[in-house]
Amino acid sequence: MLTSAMPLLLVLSGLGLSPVTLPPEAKLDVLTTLTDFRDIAAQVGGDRVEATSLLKGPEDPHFIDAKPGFIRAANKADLFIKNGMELEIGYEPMIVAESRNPKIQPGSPGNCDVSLGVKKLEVPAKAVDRSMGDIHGFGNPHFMLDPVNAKLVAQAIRNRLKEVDPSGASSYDARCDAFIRRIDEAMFGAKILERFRAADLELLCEQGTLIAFLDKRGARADLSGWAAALAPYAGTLLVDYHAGGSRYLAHRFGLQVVASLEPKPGIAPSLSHLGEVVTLMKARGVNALLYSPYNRRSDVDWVSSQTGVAGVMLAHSVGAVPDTGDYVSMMNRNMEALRKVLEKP
Amino acid sequence: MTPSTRLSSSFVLVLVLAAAAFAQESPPPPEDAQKKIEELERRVRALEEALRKAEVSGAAAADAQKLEDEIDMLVARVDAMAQQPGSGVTGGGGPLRLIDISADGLFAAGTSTATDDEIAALEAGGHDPRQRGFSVQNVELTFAGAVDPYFRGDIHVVTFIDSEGETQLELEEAYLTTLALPGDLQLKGGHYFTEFGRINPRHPHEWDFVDQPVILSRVFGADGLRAPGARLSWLAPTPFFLELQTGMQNARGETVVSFLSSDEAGLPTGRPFTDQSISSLADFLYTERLAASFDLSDESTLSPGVSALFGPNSSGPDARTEIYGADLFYKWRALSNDQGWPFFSVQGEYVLRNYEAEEATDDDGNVVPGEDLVDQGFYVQALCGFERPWVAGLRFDYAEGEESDVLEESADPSRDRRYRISPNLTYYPSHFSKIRLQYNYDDSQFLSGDGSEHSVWLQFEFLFGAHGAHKF
Repeated sequence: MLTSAMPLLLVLSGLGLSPVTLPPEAKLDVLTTLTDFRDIAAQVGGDRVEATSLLKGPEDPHFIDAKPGFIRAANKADLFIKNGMELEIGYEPMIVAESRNPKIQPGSPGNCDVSLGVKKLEVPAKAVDRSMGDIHGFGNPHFMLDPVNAKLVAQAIRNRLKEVDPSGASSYDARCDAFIRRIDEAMFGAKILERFRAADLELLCEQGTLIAFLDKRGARADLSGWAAALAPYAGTLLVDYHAGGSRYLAHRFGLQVVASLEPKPGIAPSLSHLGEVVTLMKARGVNALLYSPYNRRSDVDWVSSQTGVAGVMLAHSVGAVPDTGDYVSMMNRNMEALRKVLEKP
Repeated sequence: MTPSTRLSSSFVLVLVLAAAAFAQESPPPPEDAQKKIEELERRVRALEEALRKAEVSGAAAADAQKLEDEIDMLVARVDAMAQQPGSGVTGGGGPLRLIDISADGLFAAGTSTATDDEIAALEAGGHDPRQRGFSVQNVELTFAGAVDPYFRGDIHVVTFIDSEGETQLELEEAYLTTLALPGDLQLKGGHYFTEFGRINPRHPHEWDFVDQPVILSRVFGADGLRAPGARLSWLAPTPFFLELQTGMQNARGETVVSFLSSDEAGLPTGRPFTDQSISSLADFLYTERLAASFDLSDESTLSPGVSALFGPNSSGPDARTEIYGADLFYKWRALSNDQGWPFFSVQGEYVLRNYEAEEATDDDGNVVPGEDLVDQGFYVQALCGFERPWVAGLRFDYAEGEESDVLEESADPSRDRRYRISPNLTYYPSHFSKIRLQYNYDDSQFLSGDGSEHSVWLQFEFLFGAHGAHKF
């Protein structure tokens, strides 16, 4: 394909026009908003792509300044990958409009909203307004802490890579399959996957019946990975700081989040609300308090000291804290942190 | 699992599958959906039948186990869909997004040791608090959105109540911006704020202080410099952000003071107004700007810029005005931050205006000699977001005009030497509202007494609707 296009490229460059196709040695410039997508794009894209993210791991994805450097980066991107569901509403529309890059304008193949294919939670059933806090009309946009969504995102990225760089299709297919296999094995272990489909195990996990199901079949010993760490605690009650990624993680493993320290999404915790949460935690026997690295630590510590319930800091993005350099290691870290707290009597 | 629950589960399966088929494949041909449901229904019945037979015949335990596994899986899938309607939804959705509409209200209340007349001179911005008591500074309606794949549109309509109590309505901005020009170019056309420095192109609700800097009120007037025109911008292929802008706008109108302002408002005191007609390309306002931005680290960014304006002025047929500006913005923000806090930023602008006043004859027949009137000034402001949701600010303003042969500068509040010190404190209940308290210490030659005044203003803002991202 590329070789047959070479004479055309030569003619075009001879005319002083810039060629539309990439020169064979050039890598596809993939720009993502979050670090999670950068990691997945790099894993699915392999040597054919150069992936960078606008955000850094530790940043709170809700509050990002539209820095001019973002416009510079967006200007030269071949593929732009965003979370969607209005998570990037505060900077992304302006960055894309100012980029002067027709390839990444909405509706172009180079503009990829990965949320279109994921399993969403908390999609409002009726109209929402700002009296309900900083609520997202399209649902909770922090879907990446559900490993099932990581696989769906990898497929969405693969599809777009194939569209903007058709000559790499077979490579993207193979690398995406390998990524999905890595997630499945990290989630359940290779042994149990010889007997059951990952999709079915995921459903059982979500319903909190995975352990009972496997026990009945004497297959529990074959389970390892994230499901082995958290599935035994299905039905456990949790509290989170913000109704964010914690909801997706809890949903996948049959855990139940009963309250947030924020009285409404994005609204700072008030003392009276924290008092109510403490009462509720004591009354219902909540076992862990989930928060993100950027949440106000003093609120977490106070609630923790009042209830004796340990806080569990979850990395919200790849690179948010040390040892979270890629998606699997981030989730390894999160699962282990939560398991350690839940296993205590 | 008892047979009855299994049976009811398969009934639920059929219902849910029917619903799911209609919800997810939009719009499915009804016959196809029906076929699919019937097929799944058959599969569940066949499995149950096979299992029953296996149990009766005492077939190999492994086979029975396998069948039961399969049924349990199907039931689990049905339960997942039935238990949490609205959750685990795939697919996009959302209405056609035609226009983003937002409204913003900006109000102030306060008092000053200066009289209302003096306040009007001290606070020369049209949206500044200009009287003791309450002020409706700015109520802005914004309409924005993609027009088609080639343009986006922005319209800002502003209304406010002036110090006479009259409601004023202004078409503040209305312009198109291209989205798909080749060569990293972007064209903007319509009626818009001239992109000079950092504050002139921004609307009052984006400002970090209650009022606009003194030097900007002097060279751009009460409403800021804005006019119909067009400008071309180019993003340079440098490793850092570098944007070059060049444009032309009408030099006439009441919002183009310093140039062919439509009345005497923009004219240095003591000079007769000469109405100019547009006769050549030289009678337009030419606007130039070069802006850069460097990410010094993941946490800090430095954005310098220079701007220049050239155009005719209304002191005579050949008179010209030149305005030059340099601006700088630096911001540090912790990488791991609490909704943007903590942060620290410094911003400053220096502006120099050379107003070439032509020799003229006033109404009484006296000849007013020609001269170059030079005005300059700057402001420097620092903001410290020390703890969410508080921001403390401090601004220093300075402006002066070179002595005029016609009128002593000390008597002219629009050209005298003055400075202002403004500390303020802002509280943000959310990102859509703010409460700001500001103190101004003014020292100006035109003021009576010791030449200084004290003012205190409380500002309140609310914003709702779909409001676009703010520029960095």
